[in-house]
Amino acid sequence: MRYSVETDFQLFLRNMVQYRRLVATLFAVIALTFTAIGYFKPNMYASYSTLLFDARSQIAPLLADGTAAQGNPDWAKVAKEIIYSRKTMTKLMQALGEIDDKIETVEQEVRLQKLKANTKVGILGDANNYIKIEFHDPDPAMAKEVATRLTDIFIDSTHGYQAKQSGEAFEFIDAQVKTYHQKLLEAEERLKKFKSERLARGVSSESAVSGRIQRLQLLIDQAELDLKEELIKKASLERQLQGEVKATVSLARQSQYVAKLEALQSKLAQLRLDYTETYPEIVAVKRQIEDVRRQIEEEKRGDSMDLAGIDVKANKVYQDIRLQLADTKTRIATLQTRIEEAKANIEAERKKGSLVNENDAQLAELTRDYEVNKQLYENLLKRREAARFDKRVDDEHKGLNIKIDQPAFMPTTPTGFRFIHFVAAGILLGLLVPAGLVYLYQIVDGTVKSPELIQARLNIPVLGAVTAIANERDLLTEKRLDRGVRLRIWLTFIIIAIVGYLRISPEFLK
Amino acid sequence: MSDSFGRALKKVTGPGGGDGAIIDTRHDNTTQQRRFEYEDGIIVRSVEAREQIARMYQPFVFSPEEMAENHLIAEDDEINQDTELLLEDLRNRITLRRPGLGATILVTSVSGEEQPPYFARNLAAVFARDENKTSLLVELQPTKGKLWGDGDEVPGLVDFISSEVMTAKDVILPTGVRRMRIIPYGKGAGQGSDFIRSTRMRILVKDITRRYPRDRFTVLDAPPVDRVADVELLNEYADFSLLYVPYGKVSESRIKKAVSKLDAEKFLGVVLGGLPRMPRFLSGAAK
Repeated sequence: MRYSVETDFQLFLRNMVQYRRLVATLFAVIALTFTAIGYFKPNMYASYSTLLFDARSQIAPLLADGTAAQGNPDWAKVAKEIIYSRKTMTKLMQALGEIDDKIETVEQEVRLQKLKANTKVGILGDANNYIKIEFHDPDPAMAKEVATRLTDIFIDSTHGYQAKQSGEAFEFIDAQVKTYHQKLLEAEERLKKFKSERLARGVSSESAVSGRIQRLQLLIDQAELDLKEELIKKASLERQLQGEVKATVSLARQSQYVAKLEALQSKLAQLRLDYTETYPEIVAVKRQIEDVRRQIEEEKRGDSMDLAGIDVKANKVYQDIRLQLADTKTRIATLQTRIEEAKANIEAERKKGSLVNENDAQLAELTRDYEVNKQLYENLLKRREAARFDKRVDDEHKGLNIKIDQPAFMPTTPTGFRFIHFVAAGILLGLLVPAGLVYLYQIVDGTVKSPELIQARLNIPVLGAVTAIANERDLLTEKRLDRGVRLRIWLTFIIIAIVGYLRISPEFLK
Repeated sequence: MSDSFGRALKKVTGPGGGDGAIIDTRHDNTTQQRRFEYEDGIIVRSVEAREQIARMYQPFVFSPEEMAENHLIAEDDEINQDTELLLEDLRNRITLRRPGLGATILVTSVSGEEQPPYFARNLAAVFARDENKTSLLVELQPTKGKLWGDGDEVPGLVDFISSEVMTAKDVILPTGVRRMRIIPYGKGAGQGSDFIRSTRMRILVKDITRRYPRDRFTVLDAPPVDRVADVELLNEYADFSLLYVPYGKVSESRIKKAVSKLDAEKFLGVVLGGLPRMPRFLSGAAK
């Protein structure tokens, strides 16, 4: 149950007193357990060396135009990678004389893991340019030796690493340069070939083609106009020719019928002199006259096309017209042929024109290809020079300036939690844990232990809170209990003191 | 019985002869006349009672060791100082509320501890410290210790209840504490608590409370109120009641329930007893 802070505290004290036997027992157990742990835990010594890193300190300013393209790697990561690598550890074991060549047995493998576990790499400094290589071992001399050896191995490996890095970079760029060079050559070749091919094909420019087509079109237009004229002329001539023949024939036949009519009429007049009208001959002649007149009428209407007995060709005009007609026909044929020819030519020119466009596009692409390749190639060439420089710098160990800032030393005081820490922690926890438990119990405890509670929460008057009525004999049992508590506490401290003496004295006596 | 009386005879000491002088020095005649007369009347009565009380039969007196053996707090007891202070305070409170009269106090408890009988008998003993007062402890539950001396088989409350011929006088026994009397629980243990509601009980209580209404303080040492059903009936006989609550043994609700059984008008309050004894270096902080 929770009360006000003051009541809580008083209650806590009362509870501590009430459960003092438990508290003392717990204290003794915890303190002694920690002391035991501290006693049996071996002392660890740590030795370390610090390395000062100065990547390209001297050379970097010389390379003004950003030739140092690699940039600084994350040194903490690199250092960890190098030191924790199997290679380094193997080298270390070789240096320590623990193995001859390679790791073969399981024990050696375990040993390697242990070495690895006891090694610590850290990065220090504001600019992250200090590397700390630390090794822990129960033996201080061993710690120092391993730290020294690890440092040496690390420095060697770092130079190797740096050289390898720049070498790899150079090789890569070199390979790239070669590839691009090849590509550039190919592009050049293609362009050359295309240009010569075009020349051979005689493909002129687009404007020339269009001019030609225009001219041909003009020609066609003119020819078609002429053709139309000639066709009209031809039709006219034919019509003329037809009309001339008809007229000639009709006139000739009419004159024949008129002569016949005159003869008949004179005959009739003759007969009338002699005979009456009803005379058979006169009737016959009249009928004949009627026929002729009908024939003349027919002729005048032009219905009869009978050319029999008429010599048309002998007409001079007719002959003339026939001549002109033939001439016109020839001209028409000529013009038609010309138009056909021109049209075919235009088609050919158009085809040629599209070919010209295609060619232009191809040329542009080839040129672009070439230009791009050229640019890339030039760029790569520059970079290769930079890489070559880097490589040379790293090969000569001038790129990375590693200095041993502080060599590994012989540690005198053990690191980590020492015996005294364990003792202190044990005593502290021995106090805190029971106190915490008592307090926890106090929180969950539901019984009434405080007059304040009765007064305030239950609103019942409280006359007082008193200890149990006791006599000397009752107190005696309590005192015996207290004696046990005191004994436990004293014993704990005495044991701690003895163990402490056993533990610490050899260190001083050494 | 005879043994006890023999011893009592041996231990009898005379009442303090020079005590009368104290009264004279306490009341000089400089105050007002009426007041003087009034007080004089009281003084006279007091002196009468005092003499009567001084003549009380006192066969034996407890030595300090015997007091401790019976869990009685001697004056200036260092071990139980806090309880003593509380009891004196209680006595003053009760006498102040009933000026010039005696009182019957019911002491009961919430079950959990056997300390309450000690508390009741000490309350009675503290009342008896005043030379003008006597006290009577009525044991309504069997208890440890023999306040009446060495006798094992003394008649007590239960014997009185079951008997038809016994009178109150037969069961009121002197104790080793001056001016304190006791009615022990008696031989008939395991009777249960039914006797509380019996007529004989009623008669007994009326008899003892009426006999010396001015000077006698009766303490009823009752069993736990939450365990024995009939304790409530005792409310009727008592002028005051108080409840002993054992430290760290009972829950809030049980206290509430116990208090609800007691007459609110007569209820003095709760005594939380049995706190752990703090070592001296912590006693300041834990107060």
